Amino acid sequence: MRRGGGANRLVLLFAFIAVVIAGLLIQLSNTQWSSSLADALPNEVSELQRSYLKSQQPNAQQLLLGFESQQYSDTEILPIVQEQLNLLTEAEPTIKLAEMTNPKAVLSFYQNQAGRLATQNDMQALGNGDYATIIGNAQKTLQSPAPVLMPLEQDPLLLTQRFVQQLPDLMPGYKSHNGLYTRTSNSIHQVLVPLRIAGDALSVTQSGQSVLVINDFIAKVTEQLPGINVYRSGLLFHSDAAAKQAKLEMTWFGGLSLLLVLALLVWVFRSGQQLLYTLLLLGVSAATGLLVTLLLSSRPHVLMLVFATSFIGLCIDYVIHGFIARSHGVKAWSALKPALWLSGLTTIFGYILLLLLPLPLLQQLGIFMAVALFTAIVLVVVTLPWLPQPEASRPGWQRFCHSMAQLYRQMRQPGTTAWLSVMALATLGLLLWSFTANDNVRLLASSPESLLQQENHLRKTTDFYFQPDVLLVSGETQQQALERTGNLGDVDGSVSLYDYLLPVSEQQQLLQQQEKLFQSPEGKNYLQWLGIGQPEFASEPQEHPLQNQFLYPMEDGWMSVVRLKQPFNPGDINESPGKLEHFNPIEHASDALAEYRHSMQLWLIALLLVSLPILAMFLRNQQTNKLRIQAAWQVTCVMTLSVSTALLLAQLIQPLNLFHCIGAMFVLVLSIDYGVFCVGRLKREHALQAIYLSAFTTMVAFGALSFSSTPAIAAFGIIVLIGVFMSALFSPLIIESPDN
Amino acid sequence: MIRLLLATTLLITSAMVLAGDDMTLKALSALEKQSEPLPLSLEFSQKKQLSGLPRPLVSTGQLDIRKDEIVWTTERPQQQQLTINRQGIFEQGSEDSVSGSDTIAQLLLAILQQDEAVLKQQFRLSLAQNCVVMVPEAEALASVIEKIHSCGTNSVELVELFEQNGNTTRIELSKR
Repeated sequence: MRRGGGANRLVLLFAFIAVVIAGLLIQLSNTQWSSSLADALPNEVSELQRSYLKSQQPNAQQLLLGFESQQYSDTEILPIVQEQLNLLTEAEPTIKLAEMTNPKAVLSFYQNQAGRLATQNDMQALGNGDYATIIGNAQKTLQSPAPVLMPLEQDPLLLTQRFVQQLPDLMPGYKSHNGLYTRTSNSIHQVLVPLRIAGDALSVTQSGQSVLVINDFIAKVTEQLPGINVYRSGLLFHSDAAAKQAKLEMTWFGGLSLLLVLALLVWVFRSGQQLLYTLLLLGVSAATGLLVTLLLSSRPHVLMLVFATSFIGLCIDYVIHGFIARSHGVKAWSALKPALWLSGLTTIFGYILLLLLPLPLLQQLGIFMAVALFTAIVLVVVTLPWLPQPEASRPGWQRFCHSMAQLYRQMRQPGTTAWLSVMALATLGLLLWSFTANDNVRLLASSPESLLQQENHLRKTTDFYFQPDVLLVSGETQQQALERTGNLGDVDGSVSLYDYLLPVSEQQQLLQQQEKLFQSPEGKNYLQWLGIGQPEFASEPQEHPLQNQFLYPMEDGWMSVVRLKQPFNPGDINESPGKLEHFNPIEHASDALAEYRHSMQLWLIALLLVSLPILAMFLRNQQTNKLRIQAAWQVTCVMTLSVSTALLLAQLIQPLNLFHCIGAMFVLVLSIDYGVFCVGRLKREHALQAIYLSAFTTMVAFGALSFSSTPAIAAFGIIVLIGVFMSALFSPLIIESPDN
Repeated sequence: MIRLLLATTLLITSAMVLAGDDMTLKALSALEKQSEPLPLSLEFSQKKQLSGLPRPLVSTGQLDIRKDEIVWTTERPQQQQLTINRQGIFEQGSEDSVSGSDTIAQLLLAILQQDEAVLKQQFRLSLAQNCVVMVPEAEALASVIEKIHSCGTNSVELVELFEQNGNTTRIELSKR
């Protein structure tokens, strides 16, 4: 009968797992994941800004290589670079020369459109009927020794030639050689190689392969030109360096910490059963959490999964407590269950509070964590008793925890609550007084110093680069977007499509004005002097070769981008939401991070405030109110002390950011666990066995990240390392329950 | 047999390379002969044959070639004075050069001053009778100019500019 009941329970469990997996598979195939910070803040980004971000994130990448020398002339460098480049592009078809400006295509466009484009000054002179000036200018150009670029039958006044002469140069000072660029400045000869990589920039393998062949190309050039200086610029080099660094860190820190954690768990429990159980629990709970999140969110965000790392730590914590309590018999297991429920439900309630924040990413995190944690607790409470009673943990470990429990008993005094309160409040006060935060997105990533120097050198010397600031102009049609861009007038140091092309309406006006001029006596005389009849203007406007660098489609219309060479001056334009907006993607990303950090801070404070009454209500519910409040207050003090100390010390290394707050979130929920298990009816020795094991594994596994060279990861690691240590150090000071 | 073929190919290739080098040397030597001590004052007659026009546009005037600049004075049909230096082409009384004219100005400066270093760097040089033929190497220049002839025995007597669009400019130079 009992065997039959056991089989039924297993069938039910497997049925549940099967339903979750099937549901998840169906849901995953229909899910569209968001990945950009802009998607995480839908209310903060306008349609125009979203379209811009979308247009600027192609999987293809551009990069720039610079070869410089005083010793070799550009005529010596150029053929060698060209020869090696041919070999490179033949061997690696995903790498191509990025033609930034194609002089032939640009000239051919203007020759086809001759007569349809003129400078603002010439259009004004035409409009004013100042025909003598216009004709005089054309005659002067014709008798100068400079070449005549435009066909005279289409453009007898050479208006388009004058327009071409004042076009902004995207490669100032450089000469083009079939996609390569040369310049000699202060006796330094420079050859630039702009490349485009057609592969997926997000693929680490592909990026690594591309960097490998590019470095090989550079090595071959430097072999033939010893002593030549080489400079690299492009996201690819930075992401490859970061990937290599992360791989190295994962191999050493990750590998070593994992080995240490596994060895410790196997040493303490003398079996691998706990590991298998933990993996199963993690898998099923996470799958359930994810399924519910996907069902409730239209576009889940990938960053939510990054934020949810604390789930792993909490899950391991519950399993360790469960196994240790079970190993000490039914009584210990019964004593654990209320504490497990209380700590779990308080944490779940905390995560549910995230739903009140107006940030979709944190709302999704709240759903995921609440559901996954609830599933994990239910599974631990229900399924752990199905397993045979585990062997007691290693006697050495038990002795250590027993001694620690004794030590804390000796340390504990009537005034413990008072000085725990003073320490917690003093640390919190000190943190608030010295609080320093910086949400600049640039501070979160790191690149090798030499690579940054190379990038800066090319930025400083080439004048190729634009500011991250842009002005975004919308229009229902391409022409309207272009017309509105023209209406902006002169913005210092700006480049837009309007500098290269006039809207059709202005072209039509220009054609009419010219027709008028050629009907006038001056116009007729001029045509007679040239010996030609009425001009034949090009009938159809064409697409400009640079159009795809400045004009982008939106959901409802078109967007014209004005790029800036100088920092943006807000006085230059009058912004009009939806029509004309200034946008800085870096500032935007930093603002988004700041918004998230503020929300996380609010959440941390709210969880601290809410956990006090909840714990006071449910902890030691058979004791007097005074003792219950005292116990709850002690737990809150340990939580406050752990998180405040971690943040206080972490800000000595770098200003606080969102990733510190994510670490603090983890520390806070683990502190609730440790505190509740200490307050509960569990024997303190048993509680400490689980707390120390959980704290040690968490500190090794997550704390190892504090040695990462990527500031964002290190920020998370350092908070977890210090916070969990403080929590494990101070939670045993909480007064033991008289029941145990 | 294969070795023999390879040897023959190598011989032919090296002969062609040497012949190319030889042409450049001869062209440079002709340029050196054409060069005259500066400053230099000349008269010019320019004939521009532009595609689409039934007759050439003729202009005449004076040319003052100095070390750093050329003053191009057109007397007919319209009075006009241009100053050409490394920064570009400047109209009389204007502080700003004609935009985008720096490349063509540097080129005219090099041709009329017979600056061998610049010409060798910018062009593939060869010799046809008493004319040095210059074919531009840089892509931007090559998209506009097909070739330039600098003709004369002991001085530059004629400069011919052949543009990619079929236009030709013929500048005859004579001593004042």
